[in-house]
Amino acid sequence: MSSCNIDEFLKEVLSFVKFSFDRDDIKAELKNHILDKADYYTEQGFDRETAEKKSIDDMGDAKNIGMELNKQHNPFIGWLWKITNVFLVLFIIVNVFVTVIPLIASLGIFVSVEDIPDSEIVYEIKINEKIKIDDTVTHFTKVVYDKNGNLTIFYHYYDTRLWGSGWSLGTIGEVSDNLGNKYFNGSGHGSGGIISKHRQTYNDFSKDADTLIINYDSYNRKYKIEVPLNVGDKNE
Amino acid sequence: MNRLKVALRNIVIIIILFFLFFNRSGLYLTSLAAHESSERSIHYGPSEVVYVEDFKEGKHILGKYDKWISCNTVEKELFFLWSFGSQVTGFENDKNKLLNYSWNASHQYYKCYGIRNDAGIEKVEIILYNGDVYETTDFYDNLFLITWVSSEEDRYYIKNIKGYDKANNIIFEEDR
Repeated sequence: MSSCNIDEFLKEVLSFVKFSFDRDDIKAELKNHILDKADYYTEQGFDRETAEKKSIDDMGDAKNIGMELNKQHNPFIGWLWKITNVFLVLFIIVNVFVTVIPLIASLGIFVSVEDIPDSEIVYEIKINEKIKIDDTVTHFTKVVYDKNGNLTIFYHYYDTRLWGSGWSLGTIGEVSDNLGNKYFNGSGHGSGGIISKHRQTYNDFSKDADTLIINYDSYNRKYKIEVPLNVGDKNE
Repeated sequence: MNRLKVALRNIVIIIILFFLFFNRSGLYLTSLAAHESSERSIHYGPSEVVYVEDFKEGKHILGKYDKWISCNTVEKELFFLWSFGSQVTGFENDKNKLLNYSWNASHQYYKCYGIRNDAGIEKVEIILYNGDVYETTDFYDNLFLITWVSSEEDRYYIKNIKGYDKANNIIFEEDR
């Protein structure tokens, strides 16, 4: 008898184990067990060949061992475990890109809307107006009038469904003042993401106007916000 | 934890992550779900769907909402899922005109849609700049839809639109 017999014994046992991913571990464990026992018999005075034969005999019938191990290493559960592990990793990776990064980005860690330098500000008015249209909440936070005569409206919006996705907010509405001037020309910046931060600037805003009016009236959705411009922190 | 417990835990987490992905991905199980979500997120509608027409990459959905007429498109994704397409919102129907229409394209897939305000119009015909002629006699609650496909290289825009009565007389015509 030699280690060749141990390998044959192990081969026969493993032929009953259907979940192939476990065979190497089972083989190593059984082999160690057999060799440990062979060492014991050797210490008891048996020659090596006899010691290995006795240790294999002690193991029992290879078929019975194999069938019992196959029950313990159920191939259905084994594959279920293996496949769900792979899918779990894949879904985690996908969700990192689809959900986690946009969420972090929208919280302003990577992307934020550029503020206007204090040295450029004539006055700034904090506002706290929340408007809900369908599932979208738009939160107007402040208005800044700068030295170039531009008026900038800061706002952010999000979808109340939280997990939902959809079109970005096209417009906050028609912008005018109490003097009847309407403003169209300007520029806008936005961050995107789950909470999308924006600033919309209107050029040549009348310095004599004391009320900013934002009027949204589109496809039977309406709101109107009036912001007094003669209050706030003036640092002119 | 044994393998069965780990697999069950994995399955629960995968289901949660799948719904998270599904909702953030902008994909929908049905074309109408994509259409309705598209309208709601752009703050339009909900429109009454009067006709749906398939095209290679999706569906055209002809609808009415209050005084507006729309033809939203939704697109096929990953064999059986749907996403937003283009031209969600509609145009206002001017009832003083016999025929109101609009047209739009997504890639090489074109559509001309509108409404007849005169039920005497029984056929709508469009002529493209390349000379191609398309017509329809099908009306759905007075709305109509004509579709065509351009080549990758050329863009085939509308040059002229006509409305014909039962006797094939032109009772509406407009050049673009």
